[in-house]
Order: sequence, then C-alpha cells, then structure tokens
Amino acid sequence: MTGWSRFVSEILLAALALVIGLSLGGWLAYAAGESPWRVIEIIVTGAFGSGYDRGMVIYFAGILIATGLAVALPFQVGVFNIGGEGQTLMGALAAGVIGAYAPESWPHWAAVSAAFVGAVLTAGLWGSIAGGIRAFRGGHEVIGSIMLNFIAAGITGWLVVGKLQAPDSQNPEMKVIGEVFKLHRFGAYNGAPATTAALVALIMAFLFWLVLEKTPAGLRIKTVRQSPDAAVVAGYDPAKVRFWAFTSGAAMCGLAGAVMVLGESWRFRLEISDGFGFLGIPVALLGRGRPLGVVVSAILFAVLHHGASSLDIESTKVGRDLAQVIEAVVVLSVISLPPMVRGLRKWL
Amino acid sequence: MPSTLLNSINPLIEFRNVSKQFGSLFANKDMSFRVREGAVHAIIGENGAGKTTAMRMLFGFEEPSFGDILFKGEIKPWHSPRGALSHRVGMVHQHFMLSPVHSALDNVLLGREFLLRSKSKGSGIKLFGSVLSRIQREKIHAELEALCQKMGFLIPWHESVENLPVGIQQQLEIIKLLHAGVDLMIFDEPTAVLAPIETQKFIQMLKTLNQEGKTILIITHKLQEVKDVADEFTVLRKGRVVATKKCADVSIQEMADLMIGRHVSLNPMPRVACTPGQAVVEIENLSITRAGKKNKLTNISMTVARNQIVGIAGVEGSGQNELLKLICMPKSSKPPGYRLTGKLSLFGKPGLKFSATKVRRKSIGIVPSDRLREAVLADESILENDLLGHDHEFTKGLFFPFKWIDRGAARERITGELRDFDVRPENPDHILGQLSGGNQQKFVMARELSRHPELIVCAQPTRGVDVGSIEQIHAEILKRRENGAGILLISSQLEELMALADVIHVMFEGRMVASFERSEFDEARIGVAMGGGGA
Repeated sequence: MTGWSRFVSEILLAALALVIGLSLGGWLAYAAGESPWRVIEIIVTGAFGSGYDRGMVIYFAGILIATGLAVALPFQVGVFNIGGEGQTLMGALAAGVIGAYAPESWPHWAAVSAAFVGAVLTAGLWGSIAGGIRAFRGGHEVIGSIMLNFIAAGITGWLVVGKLQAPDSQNPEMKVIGEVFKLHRFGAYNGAPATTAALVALIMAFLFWLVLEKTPAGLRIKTVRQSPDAAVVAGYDPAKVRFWAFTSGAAMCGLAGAVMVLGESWRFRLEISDGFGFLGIPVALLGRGRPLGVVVSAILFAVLHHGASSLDIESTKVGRDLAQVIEAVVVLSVISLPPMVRGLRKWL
Repeated sequence: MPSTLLNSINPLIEFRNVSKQFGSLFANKDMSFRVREGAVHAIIGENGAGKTTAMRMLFGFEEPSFGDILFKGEIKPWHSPRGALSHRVGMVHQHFMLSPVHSALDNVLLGREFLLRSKSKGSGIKLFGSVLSRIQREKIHAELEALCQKMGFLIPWHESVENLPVGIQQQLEIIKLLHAGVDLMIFDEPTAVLAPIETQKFIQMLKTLNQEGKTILIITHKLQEVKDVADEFTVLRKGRVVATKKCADVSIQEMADLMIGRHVSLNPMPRVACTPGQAVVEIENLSITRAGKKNKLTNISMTVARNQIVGIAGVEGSGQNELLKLICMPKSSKPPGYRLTGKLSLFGKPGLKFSATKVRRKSIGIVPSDRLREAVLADESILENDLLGHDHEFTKGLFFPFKWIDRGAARERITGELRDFDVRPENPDHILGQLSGGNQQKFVMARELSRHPELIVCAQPTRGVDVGSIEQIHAEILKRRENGAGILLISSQLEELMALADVIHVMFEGRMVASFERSEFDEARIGVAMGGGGA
C-alpha cells in the first residue's frame, strides 16, 4: 500500500544519504593520506571495542534520542525547534539545582523522579516562550528559539560563576548532587554512564509514536501539518496544536539535560550540554521526523560521535572532526535528495 | 482530420498532442486543437476537465509533459508569463493576480517599470538611469484613462485594490492587458465572480474587444455565454479534447451532452411541503467592521429554522465565507483589528463566544466550499478523513495521554456510511485524494450528514461534481430538510438555490440586499439583486 511504499522510500533515502556521507568522508580520509577502511575500523572499534565504549554509545544514544525527539515533534506540525541547546541547558540547570539542594533523605526513586520532572518542566517552559511567540503571535520560531539559546547560556553562565557556584570549586560549576540523585550505572560497562535513562528515552520515542498514531492529539497534529484550514473547520485550533507540539518537544530536551547531570557529570557545570541540543537537529532530519527513525539515527550518531573520538589517538592524519563532516554531509543529502530526485524525474 | 476547422488556414495557436502529467495523473492527455486568429474561442468542460491547466501551459506557467504548443506556426517561444506578455499574449486569471495593498494605478505599473520606461524613451536602457529615473506616472495614468474611456470602464485609479469591488478588479486586469498591448487574451472563468447583469456587460465588452481584432480564449462552463459570444468552442472531458466545433452549428443541449459525455436532463427535484420548526441559528444586526476598511459584514439578520433550507445567493466574495465562518467558528470569525457587533444565537444559546471546537461538539454538519483545502486531507485514507472533526465520537480513555481513538469502532461505522451515500470505492483504506471529485464531495456529505445533525451549513455542495452526483447530493439535502434539519445553503449557482431553498437571501458586498420567499422566486429579480440592484 501507499503507506508501505512511503516507508520504504524514506528508509532508502536515509540509507543513500548515509552512503554518500561515508563515501565523502572516506574520500577525505584518503586525500589526507589515511586508508578509508582503517578509518571505519577505528570508528567501529572505538564505539564497540570495550565495555566502556559500548556504555558511552548507550549514554550518547539516550541523549540524542531525547534531543532528536525535541526537533522531530515540532517538525510534525511544520515548526522548527532550533533551541534544543538552550532547552537542554535549562533542563540540566533544574536537575542540578534539585539534585544539589533537595534533601538527601528522599528515597532514590522519588529523588530521581523529582529531578527529572523538574528538568522536563523547566525545559518545556523555556521552549514554550518561543513556541508561544510562534503559535499565538506569528513570530518566527527559528529566530525566537535561537535567541533563547543565547539567553539560556547567559543565565546559566551567570549563575554558575555567581550565586550557585560550588564553594569548594574554582571552576564554573555547581555543587555535586546528592547521592540519592545519582543514576545507577550498569556494571557491565566499566563505569561508563550507561543508565536506565537510555531506556526512558526509548520509552519516550515509543510514547511519541503512540500519540501520533493512536490519540486524538495525533490526529490534530496530522491535520495541522497537512492543512491548517481543514484543522480550523474540523474544530482544531492550529495555534494551540503548534504550541503544544513545540512545548512538549522542548520538554524532551529537559530529559536530555537531566540525564547529563544525574547520569554523567553529577553536577551542573558550564557547557555541560556541549552541542548535543544542536545535534538533535541532524538526528531528527536523518530520522525523517519519525519516532523509529529518530531512534535509529540517534544510535548511528552516537556510534559516529563516540567512535570518532578514537581517531584522535589512533590516526595521525585525520581526527574526530571527520565525524562532523560525515554528519553534515548526511544531513545535507537528506535535505537535498528529495528535490533532486523530483527534478531528475521531471527532467526525464 | 474530419473537421474543416482543424484545418483552418492561419491558426494563431495550435495544441499538438499536448499532455500534462502530475505524478501519475494526467491533467491533459493528447490534446490537439487550433485557435483561429481573430476568433472568440471557448474552452468548455466540467470542473477538473483540464481547461485551466491547458491555458496555464499556453501562458507559460507550466510546460507540457509531451507534445507542442504552436504560436503562429512555430513552437511557442516563451516559457514564462512574462515571456508570453512580450509576445502579446495575456491572461486574466480566475483569482486575480493583483496586489491588494497597492492602488489600481500601481498594480498596472508593478513588474513593468523597466518595460514602461524603455517604451517611453524609445532608446536603450542604461542600468542606473533606469533604476533612478522616475516612472512617468502622469503619462501612463492618462493613457490608462483613455483606454478606460474607450472600453466604458470607470476605475478609481488611486484607490487600493482591496477596497474595489470584484467587477472593477476584473476591469483593472483587462485594462492592464490592453495597456501592455496584448493581441491574444485568455480569460479563466471570468463570469464566476460576476452577477448576471455584469455578465451581460462583460459579454458585450468581449465582443468589442473582438471587433478590434483581439483573439479571445475564454474558459467557462456556462454554455449560454458560449452561445452568446464565441465563434468556436473546444470541449474537454477528463483532460482530452472531445470536439472542436462552430457555435452556430450546435445547440446548448448538444454542448451539454458533449461536455458530460451522455444525455443530461435536469429535472427539478420533488419537494415535500414542510413547516419551519424551531430556530437553530438566529443572527441579529450583525456587523464586522473596521474603521477605514470595507465592512466584512454589515447588519446581517437572518434565521435558519428546522425543516427549512435557507439559501444564500450572491456573487463570490460577497460575504458568504464570512457568514459561514461566523456560524462555524464564531470566536475566531473576526479578523484582527475588526469589531464585531450584533447578536448570534446557535441552538437557542448566545453563540458569539463559541470556539470552533465547541461548535463542532454540537449537532452540526459543516460542508465548506473549498473541499481539498478545508474539508479533507488528500494524502490520508478515507478512514482518517472520517475522523476529521468527529474524533471525539470515538475517543476512549480518561485524559491525555491516556486517551485514544478507537479506530476499530470508526471502521465498523464507516462502511454503512459509505454505502448510504454511494461513495466509491467503499474501501476505508483508500487514499482520499485518489477519489474523483464527485466521490470526494459525496464522502464529505456522508461524513457530515450521516450523524443526523440539527444544523447543516453547506457551501457550494456541488462544485466540481459530475451531474449524476449532483442529483444524489440534492436529494440528500432535501431528505435532511424533511427529517428536521435546519440547512444553510450557500451557492453561487442560482439554479441550485432555486431548486432547493425555501428562502433565498441575496448578499452583496457584505450586506443582505434582498430576501425572497419560495413563492416569489424569480431568476431575473434575484439576478438584479446579486448585482447590488436591490429588490
């Protein structure tokens, strides 16, 4: 059926983009004097070689699923959330504050839930500013959310060198979170921050799929994407739908921020997000905005991201920047292939 | 080729085996016909027959997928509207291509600044001289006035276009083309926006233009006009040319049969007498106004009662859409900056504060005028489309996100619905956009009427629908009236209103200028009112 052929063509498109990205990356490595096969070998060993590496991939994948969903969800109603970085920062800040200042007497599950809920709400609230401006006032969401990135960086930076700076630290960072707030790391990964959070991210992706396919909210989203006019006649308010899609997307970034604090660094520090909020954009693009696509492409990006860090050590000719080139080419291919194919068809 | 017309000596335009493909669909297939220089040539066909696409290809908006379009015996040398204009070919579109915020005069100047300048100086263009020099507005204004005088038009040149009535806007489009010096004028459904009286004037004007040597191509599905003005006509059906004939040789009945593809007879539907019941919609003295702008609606008062069909007649754009919005989505019917005064009661309750969602929860069926834009999602299945606006009927669960749509129940229900309204195919998984226009419309009627609503708001229910389906849709509307629904019927087809309605209100520029009870129905008088003439 049509649904199937659409599904298959989306997968083909993503695969083709990946092939183009890898070929160009390989060619660059070759031009720099390194064998492409060796680069691939280094990346794969770097990502799966040891328990620790596998744990890091799991950790990165969880974060990227969350920040990917944060872009994919608003995508479903045709708005572009480019503010993932700021939303992640605000979420991480909330988790860090709750973790550092809430009483340690709380049971583990309650403490962790409180930190997660706080992070998700804060990130959602932060995103709702740009979402609200877009949905109810017509201001462009790209401008709004990118400006809010700078503001979030400013606010968090100001706090961690001021009022919230850890008294015993010279660095721009907050107090270490309480023991009960730390997420349990799986033993099999030699101390890598692989936690249940990755599972939570997977569940979120599944929930996203459920909402899209099964709930009235999903029907509203679908209608607004395809025809805002039809939505109005059907009694759905496009502004509200856009607002909530954007806000719940932003809330996903809170999840990512909380995982960074509770799972990895155990405290909020400056530049904790390190571009993962932005990396959500290529993840969502390669995943074609679909939940399953986001999961697969998040894993792929996690492998590239972590595996490529070994390039710095293992190769003298290319470094981890090569991974960024591959990522960038993959995304450009995903965006430009459909119109190119269409143009080619027309021309034939 | 059997017809002598096809072998006429100097065709200005020739379509030679032209096809236009969109995806897997053919809008036009293997079209061949010729247009004689100096003729008035009508292109007729039902909605969706491919008339507009054919003309868009001629004008350079689209390129044919296969075949050639010849201009004066050679393959047409332009690939854009601008190129067409420079070969003296112009088009008046169904939806005018005017900038609403600019004055009428500026609309003529827009996009032609350089051309106008080079013409007035007669010498080559110097880049900076051209950019920096003043456009000779006064001179052009005078030229335009002269043209208007010749044509008998009255255009307020310094008024913004958004404040001009449609008739004047159309005149402006025509003057624009005349000033550009075109020899071939293409009109796409020019009379759809005109009241009957204006239509007569328009036909007269076409004849004048033709006498001056202009070749005219006119797209229409109103056969009387073809008979009145055209020398020859080409019939399109499902994208193919069915025939090209001389108007003098063919009767209107024969044209209709050619257009539809079988013998058509439009007998009036049998109507049962009904006494109007309780009022479902009451509007009193309602206006939507803004200082310095044209009123959207002025002092509208009307009632729709159960067992009653209230027809709204009027030229397109007379305020019907605003009226529909007012009833279906009262809260958002007012554009920003406008003031809404008056009273609206829906189902016996004050309704001005109702949101679209709230109205949808009431017993209402809404059939909007622009089916593909407002009523359905073309890329989704019939089943998904059936949920649109009615998902609350199948929603289970407590609250978000523990709420889901029971698509199984929806699927069980839909089969009967599709069968009752004869929607083909009956398969709920079929993609809606692949249905024919008639079946799409029958589906929308099915979705909205099968819930037995007390109020039906229905705009252009038979637009783009084949004759067979029109009969079914009309019968369905009458049946609902007998079963106790109150029906508001907005239509630009006077015949449709006269066949169905109990009362006809005529709208003109946002006002209700006349009302007629069924016993007073008179095509001529309603027609005069549609042109703003009053009753």
